[in-house]
Amino acid sequence: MPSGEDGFTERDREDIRRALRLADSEGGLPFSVYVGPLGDDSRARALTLHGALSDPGHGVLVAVDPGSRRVEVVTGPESKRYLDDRGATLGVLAMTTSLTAGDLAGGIVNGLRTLSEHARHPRVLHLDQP
Amino acid sequence: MTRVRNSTRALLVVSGVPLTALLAAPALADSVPTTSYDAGPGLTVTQTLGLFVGIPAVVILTVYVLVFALTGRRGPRYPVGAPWSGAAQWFGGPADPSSAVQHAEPTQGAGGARAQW
Repeated sequence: MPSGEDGFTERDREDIRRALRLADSEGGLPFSVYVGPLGDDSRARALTLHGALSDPGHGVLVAVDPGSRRVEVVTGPESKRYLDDRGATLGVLAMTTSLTAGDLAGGIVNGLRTLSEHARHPRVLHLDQP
Repeated sequence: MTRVRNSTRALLVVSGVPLTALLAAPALADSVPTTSYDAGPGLTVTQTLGLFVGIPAVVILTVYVLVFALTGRRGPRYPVGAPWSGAAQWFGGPADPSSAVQHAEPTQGAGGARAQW
């Protein structure tokens, strides 16, 4: 496989790590990126991977299977209050735009950026309004 | 009386500028370059080639090597859609992914989105 054994150059990895740090700080949710095979039932596999996170309730998993050209975004019961399905769909759309062009790392970075932009904490009375 | 004083002052100013230029003329004459100078023995063919071909070639080669050393050793990118033969990558995942996945339960009540491109 080109570009090392896992398809990423060191610069790709650093870009993804930086995007993760930015997404965590901006979106306020612990994001996680999985790149690898998801099997035939990609949704079930992605849900299992999401369940393996340290905090599945608040975590957001971005799972990409480059071989079968699938991408899954999984939000937990708590994190989906901050990042709704519409925001997740926009993130997936941003990813597929780059992935269609063959840019794997760029697609992941764009997706994380879009997801974190749409992950907003709901407004709370007496806290957000003085 | 005032008219005489003004005339004297004007005469001094008007005559002062040409006088200064006239006094400075010999100094300017020294700075005029002479047309006869020694051009030196000249360059041989080897020196000329080295100066105008060799040095630029070395500079171009140095820049090329630097650019190639920084970018050229990167291999071709992984073509998306090709079989993923390497190990799965998990950024921001659990510390021990294999055991964590083995003991994990699928998340209930999850949201999200999916796509295939």
